[in-house]
Amino acid sequence: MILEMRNVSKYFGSRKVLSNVSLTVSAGEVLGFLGPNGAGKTTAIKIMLGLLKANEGEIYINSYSVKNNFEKALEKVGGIIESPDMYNYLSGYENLLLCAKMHGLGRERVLEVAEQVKLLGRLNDKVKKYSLGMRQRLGVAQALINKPNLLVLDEPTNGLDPVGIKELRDMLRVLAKNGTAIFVSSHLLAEMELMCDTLCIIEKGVVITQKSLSDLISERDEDNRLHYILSVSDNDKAASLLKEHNLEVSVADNNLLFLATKENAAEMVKMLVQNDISLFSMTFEHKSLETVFLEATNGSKGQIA
Amino acid sequence: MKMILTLTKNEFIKLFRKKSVPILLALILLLVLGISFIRPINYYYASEYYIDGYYPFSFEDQIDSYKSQIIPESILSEMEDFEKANAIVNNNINNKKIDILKRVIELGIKNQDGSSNWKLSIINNLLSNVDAICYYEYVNSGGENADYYKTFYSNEEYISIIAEQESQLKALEENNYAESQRGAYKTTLKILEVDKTSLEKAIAEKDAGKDITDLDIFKLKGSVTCSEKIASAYEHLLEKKYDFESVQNKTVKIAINNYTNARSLYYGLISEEEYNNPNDEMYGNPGKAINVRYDGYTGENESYEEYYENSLSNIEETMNMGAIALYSLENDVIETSVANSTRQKMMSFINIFWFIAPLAIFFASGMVAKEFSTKTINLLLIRPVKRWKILLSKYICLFMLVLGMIVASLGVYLIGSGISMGFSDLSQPHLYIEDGTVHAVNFVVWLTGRILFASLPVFCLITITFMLSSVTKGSAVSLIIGVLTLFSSIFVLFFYGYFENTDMLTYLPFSYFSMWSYVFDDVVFLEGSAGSIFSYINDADILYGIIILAGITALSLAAAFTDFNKKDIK
Repeated sequence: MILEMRNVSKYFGSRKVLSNVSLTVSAGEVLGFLGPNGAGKTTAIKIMLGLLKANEGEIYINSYSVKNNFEKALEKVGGIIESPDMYNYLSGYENLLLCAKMHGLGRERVLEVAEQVKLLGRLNDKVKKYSLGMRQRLGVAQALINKPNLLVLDEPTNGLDPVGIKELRDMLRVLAKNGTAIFVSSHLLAEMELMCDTLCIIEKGVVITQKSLSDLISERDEDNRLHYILSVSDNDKAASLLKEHNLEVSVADNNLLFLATKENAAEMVKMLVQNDISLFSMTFEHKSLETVFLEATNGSKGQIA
Repeated sequence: MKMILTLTKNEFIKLFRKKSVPILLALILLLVLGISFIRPINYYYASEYYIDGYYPFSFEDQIDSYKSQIIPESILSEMEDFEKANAIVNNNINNKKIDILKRVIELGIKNQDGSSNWKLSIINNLLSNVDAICYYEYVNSGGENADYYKTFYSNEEYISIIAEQESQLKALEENNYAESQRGAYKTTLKILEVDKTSLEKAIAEKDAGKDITDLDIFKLKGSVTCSEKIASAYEHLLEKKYDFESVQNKTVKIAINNYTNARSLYYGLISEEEYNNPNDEMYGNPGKAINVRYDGYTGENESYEEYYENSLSNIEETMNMGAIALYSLENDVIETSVANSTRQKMMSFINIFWFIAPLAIFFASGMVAKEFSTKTINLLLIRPVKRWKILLSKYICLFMLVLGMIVASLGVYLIGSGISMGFSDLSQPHLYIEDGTVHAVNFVVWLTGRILFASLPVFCLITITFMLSSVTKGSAVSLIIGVLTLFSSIFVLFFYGYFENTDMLTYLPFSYFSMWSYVFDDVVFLEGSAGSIFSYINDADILYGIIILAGITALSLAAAFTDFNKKDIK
């Protein structure tokens, strides 16, 4: 576990902005932190990075408490909070070098990250001459400077054009593949859907759910069964075989439909193949993330689970 | 430690890459350089010309005027008794004055020639002494009705006047100013002799059980010491033949004046009995001024003990000045204030603090607040570095910047003053007195110490502003409060009249925020005073100032760090 928030609560004056927030991010995981404006996303991130002090609860990064062992906890963390504000009167290079030095790093690392975010060509220009997209890249670069194993990004796609967004997404994927835990906050559902493995939905300071993307969007019944849709070589044979295993099976639009849990479905696929039935495609019915999000933020917890 | 160093370096990069910072620093250094080239006016010689050198009439006109006052023989013969004697003496006087003026003209002395102005005052002196000498000669030669003048001066006084006249004439002839003072020197030696005799006599009488008090002996001993010192100052002048306009001659005069003052202060000391029973005699006695029991400062009667203590400290102060003057004569050094010296100019550096302080406050105001307004604080605080280290590095950066600004300004001021007034003077020492002994110390070292001492309020002010900048996150508000705090040291002047007890100003911090104004107040200078506009509003106790400023600085730092450590960065 790279990041663990345990029952974190935060008050601004008498107003409770975060209430018992708990979440975890593990190595290689991209967690989307999803919530409407004002839900407490930035507050949670600021607490995570030590900018705000939690009134209750604990945060552990790489098993170090942010409260009690700040320097150790933040050693391998990179972040962008709100907009990536840098020193406008300095060049991108100087900005990165200032950050690098705070991690005991130097020029080589600056050039490395600059290349990584494709900013090498404009590195010596003053930041005030940068476009919003370039600033965002610079923001990412400063977050990556210390080769973090936890990357915390607050609205990282703001101001990026579609190409930039794609590049960022690809970059995050590569980072995640190499074991970096990534925590991304956003209210852009489409982005989240493309970017994240896991989603954590927060509303009014309360975490409503943290689940893998596929779990969130898949339609399940009370017994945690999914509606599988199969395209096979022999519908009738397949249907009868499945029925033998006490599954509810139907045929529609030349597709075979059945209800099963994930584990069960895997066994069934094996069984069909063993019975010489060719499997062309297999999918299950799922909701759009938007539906899930709206249901979650408007309704009660029970509706999602 | 390494991290703090790195962070401080980062802060310097951030600071100096802002265009405004190097520009402002360059401007202040230019300003300092400009001020350093302004030469102070030498008031001493200006006043000397005015008092002694102004000689409105031509010598020829004066000769005519004296000639017209000579009473012709025809009228003289018709006069009687006192009137006639008077006229004879007057004629002698006028004739002698004419002789002197003719000789002066022969010597080529001009009546309004600035470079020879000591001669003009000597001529004045010669002319005015003529009266006394003529009366004396008239009496001595047993002139008609000479009885009328017998009580005019004592024999001794005539002799000393004649001696002075001779030496002054000789000085004119030889064009040697020092010689003109030989008469005064001889008089001093005589006074010394009289003092010594009186002292011996008093001691003998006391031993014999006569009514001589310790105070009497003390006063006489003091007088002897003072007379010895005065004689010594004259000896330096006569031996080394100082020019009239030389700094050394000025030093001689200061030594003589101070020891003369000290001597009369000794003379004026009165016993407790006299103090508590003032009588009519005191009107004629300079030592027993009528307000002797009234302390003009507190408006209260002072006790004899207070009077005695104050008198002794007056004597000490006066003798200290004399001692410094004599020391510089003995060791061939020039005291700082006595000449229009580079050193004296350097001391006016303290005024530069009026420019440095607001600028330093300006830098301090943005130090933390700017990070908040540009939101770059987020960038800083999410690093694996404890907050206090970040704040400390900012404070160190600010401190070094201001210290550097002060040192650079001092350097620029030194160079500017040196170029305009000469560097050689800087090799002269600073003289100070401790327990009656004069010591010399390297001036530049001494000044640097004093200036660092004087910059204490600047560091206090930047710490206050730094704290405000961090706590309020507003650079404008902290700038305004910082500057107002600086100027509160002047504002108290406006409200001076409202303070019932002005002593309380000593215990309030306000006047210390420009403490540089009085870091030289406790230094003994021969000429003038480096005292400030503040020295009259309160007896600012510098030690108390240090404590109060250090206290405020420590509290501000504690507040800044406590707040910054706990602060929520919203």
